[in-house]
Amino acid sequence: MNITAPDWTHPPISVQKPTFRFPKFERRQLSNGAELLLCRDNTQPLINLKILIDSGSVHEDIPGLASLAAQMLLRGTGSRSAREIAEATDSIAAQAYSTATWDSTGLGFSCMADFAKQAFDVIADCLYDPKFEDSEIGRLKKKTIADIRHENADTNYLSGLAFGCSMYKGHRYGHARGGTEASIGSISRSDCLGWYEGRLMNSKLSVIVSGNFDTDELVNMLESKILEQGSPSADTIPAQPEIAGNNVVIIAKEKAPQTTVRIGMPSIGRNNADYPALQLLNTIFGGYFMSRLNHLLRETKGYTYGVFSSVAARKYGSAFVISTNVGNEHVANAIGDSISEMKHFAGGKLDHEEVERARQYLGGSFLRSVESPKQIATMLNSLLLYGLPDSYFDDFFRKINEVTAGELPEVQKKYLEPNGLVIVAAGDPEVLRPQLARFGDVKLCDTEGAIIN
Amino acid sequence: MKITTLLSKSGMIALLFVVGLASFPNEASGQANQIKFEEETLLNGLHIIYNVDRSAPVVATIVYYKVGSRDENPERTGFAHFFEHLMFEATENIPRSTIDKYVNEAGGSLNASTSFDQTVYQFVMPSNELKLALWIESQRMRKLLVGEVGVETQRGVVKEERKNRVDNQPYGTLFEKMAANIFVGGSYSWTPIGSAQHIDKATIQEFRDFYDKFYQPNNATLCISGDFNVNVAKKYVRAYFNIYPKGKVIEREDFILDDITKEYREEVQDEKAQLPGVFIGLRGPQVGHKDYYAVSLLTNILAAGESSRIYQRIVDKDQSAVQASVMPISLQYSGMIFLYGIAGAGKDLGDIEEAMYDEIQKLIDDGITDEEFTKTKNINEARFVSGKKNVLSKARSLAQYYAYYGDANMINTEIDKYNAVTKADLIRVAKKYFDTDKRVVLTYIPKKPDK
Repeated sequence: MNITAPDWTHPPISVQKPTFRFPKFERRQLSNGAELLLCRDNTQPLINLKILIDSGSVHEDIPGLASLAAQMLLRGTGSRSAREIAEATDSIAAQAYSTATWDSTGLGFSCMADFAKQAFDVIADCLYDPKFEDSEIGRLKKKTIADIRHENADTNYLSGLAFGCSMYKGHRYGHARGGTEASIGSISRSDCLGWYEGRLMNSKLSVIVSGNFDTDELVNMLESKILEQGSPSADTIPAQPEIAGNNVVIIAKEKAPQTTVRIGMPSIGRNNADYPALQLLNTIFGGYFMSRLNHLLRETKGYTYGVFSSVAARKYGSAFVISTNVGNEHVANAIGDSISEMKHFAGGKLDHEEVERARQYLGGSFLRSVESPKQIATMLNSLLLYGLPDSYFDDFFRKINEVTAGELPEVQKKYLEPNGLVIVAAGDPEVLRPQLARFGDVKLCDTEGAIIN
Repeated sequence: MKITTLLSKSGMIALLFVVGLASFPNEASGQANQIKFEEETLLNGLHIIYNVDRSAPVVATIVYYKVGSRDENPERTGFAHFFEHLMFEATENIPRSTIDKYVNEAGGSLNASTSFDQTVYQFVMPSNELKLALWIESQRMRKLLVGEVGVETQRGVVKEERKNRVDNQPYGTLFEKMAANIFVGGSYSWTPIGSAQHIDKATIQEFRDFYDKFYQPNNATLCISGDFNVNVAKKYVRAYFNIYPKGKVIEREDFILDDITKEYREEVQDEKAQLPGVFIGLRGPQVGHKDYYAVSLLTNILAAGESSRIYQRIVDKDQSAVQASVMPISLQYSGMIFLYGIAGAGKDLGDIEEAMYDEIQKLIDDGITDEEFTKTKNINEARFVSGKKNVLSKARSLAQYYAYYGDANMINTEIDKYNAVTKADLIRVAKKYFDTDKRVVLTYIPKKPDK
């Protein structure tokens, strides 16, 4: 073959945009009304099945209850002990899980396709006949409290707690989702049962399946076990609170060698038409290694090893948030520079090149996230949970590639202008108090998530 | 760059053994779906494996260099890992700190890892960016700048990494102590993170010599997996890699180890640990050894999942440990079987250790049930299939099988070796490897920091 000498000086980065189509999936309904999302991919003999219930930590009255109750589902039923459940799933190498997130509870498994029915029988038993035995609850509480103690030593965890409790103060998102020592300690069997009967059996239930299966057999299997849910009570979760001025909060970790900083403000969710454009702008501002903010704080100023921003979009509220770990002596400067950069960015011009670079990055990251049936299942989960149209991911990919430079300034101004901010620092209060005073009245957040003046 | 955490349940402990992957036993295949691939070797010795998989518009590349910490001069440990860092610095034509920018800009991701036996570089790119990945890998293979600026910068970075990974982690010295005593007398007796003093003392010329010795086409395997056209890829491969001559054949000394003659026991006072832990090392088989498959299946019975013997006994029944497990760590020339238990508050490490030996003895005395035997085979098969779930894991497995066995098709056939294992084999290896007092026992006791 006749080959000319390679050009070593210019990286051969392709400017051609890759094409993308979200894998075909099917929406169905069981006879009792439960919604199904099915995505078949028979390249591997694996199946992922998830039962999604629209009740999560946002609905709980005791911090940590949704999460604890979800875990308890796998810890004993009328006919199987916790050990027998583990034995039944381990023996067919099924990875079973039951967890709560802010907005939902998910119970499911991944396993070899041949064992789908056996795994499903166990999971259905866990969902419909959980025992909530006192001894198992006690054991799980003990483990959860040990985990919380461990997390309370970590400034990353603490900053997240204080940020959430400040951003959503007075709202149902404004508490410790994993619970606190006191709240977990207080949970009783009747709390678990109340949650189970009141919420888990009375909320919308859907099933997401991806991987290797025969659709008719699968639907029959689901029909045989999935029961009709009680009627959900109306969702009365209010809109997220507005944030005015600077809300400056310290959460204490005495003698911490570094400080974790979070700065943020309310933002928009996936349903908003501006969401793809905002994701693109966030990439440019702080979403990746080559962002403006990382360039400033890491490369130019050397305050941090890295700084990132993101949009944390939930069902009932969203926040734009900048996160970084900084040396204790740089906290005030890192916060001050971040806020100035936001102001500058919200009203400033974008280079053509930086927009194109961010498009490439965001598009590529997106493609890497839709590779396996497991990843597809996660995305189908979002469609259900946030009520998004079937074309959502195709549209998202198209929009980040097609949004024009002319459309961006309005979105920048609208969602990135720092009008009201939550500013959280987790670290040594003696170090932080004097540095934070210049941003406003400093409040304290305790490890229970309470904001104290 | 990449760190394998061996134990990280509930975030209590994240340990470093190798500065990268130690997880090869679980990447291979089930029989259901054969992986198809094509191979070629260039005249300069570079071996290339092409695996087309169009399930998503992405492509992964692996460049697998057969150079790990065992290839280091014992007076210059940490070199292999140091190169993993240097390979992100600069080449003759790529300016400093630009590789990650190019890859980011193309929408790709990158990583690398160093182990005892190998250093592995990986990219995952949108499918239209394969050319960029190969362009970078080619330059790094023979056009790396091994100069003052890059070396000095990375000396600092690697020291920081050591602080983070070893000095500031609970049980941070564990694997250094374990390797030193389990692999006594051999070139596995130091870990890939190496010694900061050695790196400080080394001259630029020493780094250049190391690069010229090991970073050669005939010491590397390139694997491309994903959505691409093989003919186009071959064109790029020829343009970018055929230009290099074959390197000098690397002469490696025979691998030797001293026998372990008696139990080694050490108690470590650890300011970083929150809970006491007991860590036990036993000599195990190397990758591909006839006992390797049986040991792997045996450890599933002992410790895979909450229904396993060790979990049921120590975590569930006795409640003496919050975590306990057993895992084989097999390397190219030797191996280790690693057992550990992290004590619950106020619990005794001695009880945990005794209970582990007791469970192993019971297994040897009473045998294995049919249910357990089926379970471990199922776990293994599921692991195999999951190991092929994306293009990156396939590329890594193919390259690794080729590097270890000279046979990339082991990705399709290795499962047969597991299937051939019998119950009697499990008991035999339990006696052979577990029933011994020639072991290394390290206990870590939390210590209040001095004020």
